[in-house]
Amino acid sequence: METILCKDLDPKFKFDVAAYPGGENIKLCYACGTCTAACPVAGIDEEFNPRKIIRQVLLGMRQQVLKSPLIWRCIQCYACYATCPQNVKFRDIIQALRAMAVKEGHVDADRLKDVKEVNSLAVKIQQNLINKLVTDKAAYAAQKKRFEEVNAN
Amino acid sequence: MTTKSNKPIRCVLVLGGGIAGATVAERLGRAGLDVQWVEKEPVIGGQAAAMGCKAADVCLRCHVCVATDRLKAALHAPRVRLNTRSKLVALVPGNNGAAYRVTLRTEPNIIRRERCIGCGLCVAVCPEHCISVKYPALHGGVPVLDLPLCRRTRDKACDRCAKACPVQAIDWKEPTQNRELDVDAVVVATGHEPFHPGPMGTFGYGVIPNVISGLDAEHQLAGQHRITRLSDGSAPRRVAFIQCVGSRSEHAHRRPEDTNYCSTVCCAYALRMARRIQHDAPDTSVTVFYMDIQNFGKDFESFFAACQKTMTFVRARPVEIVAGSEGAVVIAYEDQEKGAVNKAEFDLVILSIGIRPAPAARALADCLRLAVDQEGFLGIKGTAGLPQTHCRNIFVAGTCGNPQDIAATIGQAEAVCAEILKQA
Repeated sequence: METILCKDLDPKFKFDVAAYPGGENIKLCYACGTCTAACPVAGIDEEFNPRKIIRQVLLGMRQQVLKSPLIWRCIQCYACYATCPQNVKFRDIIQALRAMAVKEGHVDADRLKDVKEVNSLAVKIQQNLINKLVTDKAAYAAQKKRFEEVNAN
Repeated sequence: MTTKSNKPIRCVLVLGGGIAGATVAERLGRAGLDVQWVEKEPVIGGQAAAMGCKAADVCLRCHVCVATDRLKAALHAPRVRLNTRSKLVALVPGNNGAAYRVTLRTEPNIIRRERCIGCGLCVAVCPEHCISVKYPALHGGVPVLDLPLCRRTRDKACDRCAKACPVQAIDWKEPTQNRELDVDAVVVATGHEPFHPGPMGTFGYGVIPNVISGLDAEHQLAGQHRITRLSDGSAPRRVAFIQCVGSRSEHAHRRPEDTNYCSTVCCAYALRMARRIQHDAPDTSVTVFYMDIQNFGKDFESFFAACQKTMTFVRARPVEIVAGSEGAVVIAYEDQEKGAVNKAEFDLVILSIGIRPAPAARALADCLRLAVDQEGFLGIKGTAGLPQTHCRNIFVAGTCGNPQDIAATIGQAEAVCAEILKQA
């Protein structure tokens, strides 16, 4: 159990997020956890939890959220967006949080561009593997092993 | 001098053959008013007549038996004229002092109730299985014919049922009739439509046999007095309830089948049903996936506390339900204690579906010039009491005005009767 001190909280944080385009619906969340259950990142990464990030914003944990590397792990796939019963639009909230992190100087301005590059590279790797899978199974296995080794380091 | 509005109410049109309509028809008939009672189906009963008693060791006050009693009483009430397979098609201001002149369209019932002896021979011979016995507790063995399925409506010659009938109760020659009536008041009690969980594709309703809706479970309770799995007919050992299916969803604006309000009845019926299952088979484990348990009433606190002792309550809204091995059902959800995605296996999953306005409610509202609220329920809701209509002597009772349970529906119907009898 984590202890949160009231004096460290910023009660204005959620209003700031709600004022950003895409963040409007953050206060509608009733913490049902559908987003986390649907999230492909949360499926392989136990640290990344959309419901928890929303809760942290609502509680006002400004520094923890904006400094955290977690907000950069979202792959912007819209699974949370499509399943949320309250239309909270978590994918858009992540965009708002990233913009705020840049604006408040927690990361440099190139970060947004870099993450975009990483995402596009990941899709290229995925397409490469799928193409190999379809055309040449042996090449696929070799390629997959190489990527897994790279990933492990 | 008697003004038009002070003319006493003598004849009342009651729309809807569910519990609200039955309560109003019976009370007003017994009070000496003439009641024209209209039901679109071949038999009265509505939703509640197909539900089952959920008593465990003690009565859990689901009020299904009260509903059946009300419907039975209305069938035998004096001065009540029942028009089945009938619809209201027009309503205009009346003359000769009556408030309204209404036009009713009555389709033929085909199976004539006054002749039928309930032998069931027609049920057995129908090649399309469109003849069935509905609500046997109310109507005995008298069957009804589901016309859209019948071969004759698809221009095919078929008279097997008519030939099989020993008392010539099946009559294909009866025409559709339009009748005009003068009435002094109209009571709208047209009820609701249960949410159909099919559109929520990720829950697998209609695809995975052991995912059923709360209403399916009610029908099982009414028919066989226990809840079983559809795949093999066995009693489930691990049961999951998923709350708020179709209710409280902000997707309502882009998926019109969803609703964005609390249907108010689902938590209560799910917990009662869970108690009933555990009473019948005490070693059955029950897990309830919920967002909030929304319920009220003076006994609810203690009832909920008793449920928490024997059931597991998981605060999560599952995202996906998939079929497992040997008829098992796997639910994917977020385990909020651990903050990680979890998959749990169950024998039977019951989706607690909510209440939606009836599809014909808007057309009826246009016909009666009634106000409709933003969700499609009839009447204007004030701070308390009945939904208001702003039309003289038109009243709204039951779930066509608001999602509510059986007790509230009967209470509202009684309040409408009191309003009408004040002017009688």
